[in-house]
Amino acid sequence: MPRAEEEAVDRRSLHERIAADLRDDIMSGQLEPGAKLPSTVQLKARFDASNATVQKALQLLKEERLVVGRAGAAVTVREHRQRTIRPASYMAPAAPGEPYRWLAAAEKQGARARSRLLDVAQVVPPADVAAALNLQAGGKAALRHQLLLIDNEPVELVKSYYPLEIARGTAITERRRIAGGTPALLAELGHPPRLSVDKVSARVPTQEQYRALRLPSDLPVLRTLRVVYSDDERPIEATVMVKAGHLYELQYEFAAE
Amino acid sequence: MSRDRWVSASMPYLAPRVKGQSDAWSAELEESGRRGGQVVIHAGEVPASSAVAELLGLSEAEAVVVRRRVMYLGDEPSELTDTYYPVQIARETRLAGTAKIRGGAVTLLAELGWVGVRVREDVVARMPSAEERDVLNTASDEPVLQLTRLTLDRDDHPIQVDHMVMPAHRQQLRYEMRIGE
Repeated sequence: MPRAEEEAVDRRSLHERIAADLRDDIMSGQLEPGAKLPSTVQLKARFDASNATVQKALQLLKEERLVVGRAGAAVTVREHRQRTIRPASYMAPAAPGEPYRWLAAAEKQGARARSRLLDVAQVVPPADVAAALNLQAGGKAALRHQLLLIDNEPVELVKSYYPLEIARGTAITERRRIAGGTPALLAELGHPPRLSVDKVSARVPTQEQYRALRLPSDLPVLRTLRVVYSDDERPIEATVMVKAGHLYELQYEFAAE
Repeated sequence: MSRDRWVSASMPYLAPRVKGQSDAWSAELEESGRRGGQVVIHAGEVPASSAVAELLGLSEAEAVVVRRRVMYLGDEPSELTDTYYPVQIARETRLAGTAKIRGGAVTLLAELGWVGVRVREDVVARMPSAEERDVLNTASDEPVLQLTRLTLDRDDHPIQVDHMVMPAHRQQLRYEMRIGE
């Protein structure tokens, strides 16, 4: 087994390390939704830590919305701690009058989901988006910036960019909701979505993401860059989706050719 | 920086290689013009964790065969991959040993009669454990991508679970989808 010359030193404080180990137990399903966390006495013994340190670790997990508990009562793992997103289910255009599929799916699970339109503008997009849309250096794209909320908690920050030739003069550049969603609108405009390519990475959240998603501590985010192509491999949309890493997992299914 | 990224696509890992062809990972490396390799750090039987047992349809602590590997890109570790097989598939095969398998494990599996046709991948972002940080040589605040891949055969039986951990600054995953087909 390859290893560094010396053991790497874990520079995190003790309560952060305790939270990290418990978080892993929760995320891996070792501690299931609804399960009680070990008692303070057990945690003190397991981590050789003081009562105050254990409480600080538990506070961190509460702020991360992974556990719930009041003073004097057992701390338990929250139900629905990690939602599974299946991108394949959300690709086809929604039928006319149907809400955004992602939100519709969340509602089916009994949650109250909605989106908030934060901004509609013409901007110079980030480099990877500009490259995906084949923009010239310094070229602008139409941006629709949304925040998705489930049960009033911010869960995902979405920035969708469209080539101006496609978006100009359409509902894409208007500061209001697009009835039926953009895939349906793009199809109507003569650009049916044909191929979608996702690039998924883990990132340290930017300041904007940290604030918008109300992230509780130094946790990573899942960043998906999705580029949607129409006929003749023409890019019609590039979307950057950022989700809190501890609340979401992405699920992809595919079959051999 | 982004130009330098390794874009991982899982599909080639499903297909057995024809005779004389190198394994999918080596082929991917060759194509990208980069050096790399893998080290098998452990192979043998272990009790299944609850997560692995659930995916393979076994009871917790039932024996499974594991191959634990570190993948390298250049001189940098780029991935920790633990692959789990049910014992009726892998016991007393080369999958349970540390020697390099010519053509790759998927090819050997196919020779043994097990061909994956459907795959489900779960992706999460998290901070690494101290051990993972040590082996992957990641920066102090660098997250990891964790990919859990379940491979099913044509009868929908699970034949393999891969548990992969990748440094966020060096790896991203790529998925392509045809729409409306």
